[in-house]
Amino acid sequence: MVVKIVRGFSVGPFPRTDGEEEGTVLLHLLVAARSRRYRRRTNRKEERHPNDVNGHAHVQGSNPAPLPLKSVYITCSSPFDAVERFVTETKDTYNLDLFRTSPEGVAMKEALSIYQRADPEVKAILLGTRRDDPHGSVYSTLRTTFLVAPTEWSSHPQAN
Amino acid sequence: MANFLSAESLDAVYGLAEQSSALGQVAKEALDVIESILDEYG
Repeated sequence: MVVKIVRGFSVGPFPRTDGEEEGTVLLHLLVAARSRRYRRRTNRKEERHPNDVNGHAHVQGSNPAPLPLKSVYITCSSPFDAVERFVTETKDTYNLDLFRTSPEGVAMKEALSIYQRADPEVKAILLGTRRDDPHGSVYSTLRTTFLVAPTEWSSHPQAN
Repeated sequence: MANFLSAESLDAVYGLAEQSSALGQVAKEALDVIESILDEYG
């Protein structure tokens, strides 16, 4: 379902490789939503305070988001060069604060636990999942397809 | 310096979501869900 959005985008760059579409679509939508929220918030502040303390007008921000987006890359034991390049390009394109699990590769369940311990402030993770994924049929709504809250990390179908 | 996507480029997906096509509806549904998640989790 979400994969179709990839083919609908007419703007680039939109890095992707086979098998990465779901996560990339979700990432693109998430970054777009964060960007819009940030600009709305910034514009509201500018309306209330049109000038800074030095009397200079604030510049209308074209920066899509103020902070890098926290993200986790669960590496496999033998990552392909193409995947590594894709991850690097995606990190740069979408301004990601990327946490990588060990290069030896760990299971997703363990990787999420490692990430949670490394950054306890992370409240939830969005995870791209195909409807026809072996675990995809358990998701009844788009929201449950995307969202993995920390309380669900150990029991999430994708993590087992 | 990384070459981040511009705000204008990112907004294209909202333009897509305003279309009445099946794809537009999918985009709108996905963005609505993501925004509700952002409301909840920031």
